[in-house]
Amino acid sequence: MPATRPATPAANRKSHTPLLDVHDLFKHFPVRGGLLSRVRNQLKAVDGVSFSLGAGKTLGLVGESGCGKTTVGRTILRLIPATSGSVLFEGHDVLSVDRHTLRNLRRRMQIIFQDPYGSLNPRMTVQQIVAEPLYVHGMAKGQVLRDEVSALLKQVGLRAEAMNRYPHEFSGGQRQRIGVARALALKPAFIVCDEPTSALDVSIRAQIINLLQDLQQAMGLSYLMISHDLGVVRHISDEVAVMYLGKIVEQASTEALYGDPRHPYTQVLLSAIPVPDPKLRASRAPRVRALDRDDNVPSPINVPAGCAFHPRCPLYAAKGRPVECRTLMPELLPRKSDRSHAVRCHFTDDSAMAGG
Amino acid sequence: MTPPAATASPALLEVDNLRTYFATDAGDAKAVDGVSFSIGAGKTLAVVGESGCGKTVTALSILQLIPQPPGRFVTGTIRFDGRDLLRLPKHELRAIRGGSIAMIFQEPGTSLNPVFTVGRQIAEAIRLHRKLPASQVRDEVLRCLKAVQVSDPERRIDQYPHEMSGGMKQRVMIAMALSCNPKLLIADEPTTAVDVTIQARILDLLRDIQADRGMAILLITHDLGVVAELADEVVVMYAGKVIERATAEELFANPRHPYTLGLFASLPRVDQKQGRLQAIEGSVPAATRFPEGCRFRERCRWAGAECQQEPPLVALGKVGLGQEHQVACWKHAEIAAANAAIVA
Repeated sequence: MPATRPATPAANRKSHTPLLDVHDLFKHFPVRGGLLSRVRNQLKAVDGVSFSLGAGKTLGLVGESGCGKTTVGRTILRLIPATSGSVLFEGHDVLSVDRHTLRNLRRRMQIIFQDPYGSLNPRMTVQQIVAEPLYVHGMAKGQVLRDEVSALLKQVGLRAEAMNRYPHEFSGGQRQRIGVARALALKPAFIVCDEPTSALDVSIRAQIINLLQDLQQAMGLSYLMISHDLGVVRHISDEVAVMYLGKIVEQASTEALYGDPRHPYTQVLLSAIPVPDPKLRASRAPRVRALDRDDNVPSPINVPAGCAFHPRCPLYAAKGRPVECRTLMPELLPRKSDRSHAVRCHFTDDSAMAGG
Repeated sequence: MTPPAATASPALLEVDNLRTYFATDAGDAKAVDGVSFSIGAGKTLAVVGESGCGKTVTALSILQLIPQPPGRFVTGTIRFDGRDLLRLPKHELRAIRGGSIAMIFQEPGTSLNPVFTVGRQIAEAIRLHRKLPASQVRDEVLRCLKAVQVSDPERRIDQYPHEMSGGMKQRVMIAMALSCNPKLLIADEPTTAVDVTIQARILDLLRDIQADRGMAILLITHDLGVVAELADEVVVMYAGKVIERATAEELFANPRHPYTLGLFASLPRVDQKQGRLQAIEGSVPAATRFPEGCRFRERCRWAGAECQQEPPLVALGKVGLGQEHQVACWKHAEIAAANAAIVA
């Protein structure tokens, strides 16, 4: 199905094998309609995404609602089937292994969900919730299981007394700790964190971020941190990928991405965040006004031709609406000055600027 | 209908010693417990705090959108334009709701009625509050949609909410709120449910509208970034109490309450690199079980014996714009001295 193979950033082609290597991942959902529920269209949630993640590292995946970041996380874990692509994890292709191997792989890859209210079964005690993965995978039972659960709860900062209580007896932050304990139960190497702090208050958010960082240090975990919160992502990530309508538009080290964003979408996104300093109010207002005039963001069902961002792009407007932006989807190419910094734009990369 | 604003008092809205309690099986939930603040005409006051601090109940109390029972107003006055809203007859209150005080909510998706076009919903507000000939209502609705910069208003006016994006729906809500030229707009987490690029545009819009019309805004939010964007003055709430109050510039430059300090330190910043975040340990106590004395003391590393007594909201002295910086903490001087020593 993919027409063009998106280029992989040079940083991903290192000689040593990364823990996770996602290549050319596609996930299209059929859009049905009409009397016979025929497939009318394709919703291109993930449209050719490639990245890799080293052991003990964190990759931040950011973007706005509908950009496909959550679908990437779920497709990687094969919680939903991919349309095409490969996900190499510890030497196996998660998307094509048989069920038995997949089961074993799932011990090593876990997920923490956004909503600590919806992701814990209200009829189960904390003991049952945290023990379930251990039980399902036949890792422990009886007293060993109980000891294991109490050790896990301690690890995430909850008391062992929590075991016999139900999720509703806990606050949002404590519930998210229970979700983290469940994810840790099988001693995974890799955790997809899908907006783990979005439903939490500011003071509690910091507790959970610190917990995730401590656990990473202690256990050498790798995280895929999916979030719309660019502050959280900056704080926790080694590398950041920005998604727009199913594609990665910029990927770089955290420092380079926040210090020298090159894609106009990344620049727009960063300039839109309210900075907690009233003195900066006057200086940054004009940048926000450079944004598109219509609130109707294009949907992944009707992706604009050419560069998907061009209808909203301040650079496209400033450049006098160049024809290539309207007709040709740019590739994700590494910058000449920094091979680990890849940008999907005809104009922002310095090589392109020099050539054009 | 509205009497001319009392010139003696410069404040448009004055909330004094408001207590809104809710009866529960576990006793009274003291959601709002002795809150006072005021907003001048054309100014923006932000009420900041985390879930359960009482900020939304404060906003709903002003328009008396609190179900009674279980809710009840134990004490307090809410003076708006010289009249006490808590003691106003129902029909007069109804004229004020959506008329001179309008409100927008966090979830534009659930606040709009899905079975009517947005034009009809805005027209309803206009018909209820303004004596306008029916022939002019549609033009007025179009004018409102234009005022909130809805693109292609002639087409949008006949659309249903589900045909619009979240940002567009929030614009429609704002258009509805503005349709009766309110003197005060209560905005309860107006941008929490929308993406960050849309949020930036909604904040711009609110700022422009305020500059045009000189309308006061009571902004309820948990987001210190949004506060920094819009507010002239800030009230920080914790567990039903106001714990700090200052101008926005003063509060961000010089926070004094340990809870406010904790909020700033626990914020992952997008504009700078930081070390480990300073989380505030523990969580907000339930509204039925607030501790005696300072309600923050169980989470406060500075807490001492005096904190068993409730700290009054005291002024630190006159700063900026002639507004006072007030803080409710026994230890604020000690903390400020310690923090100054660290910096030095």
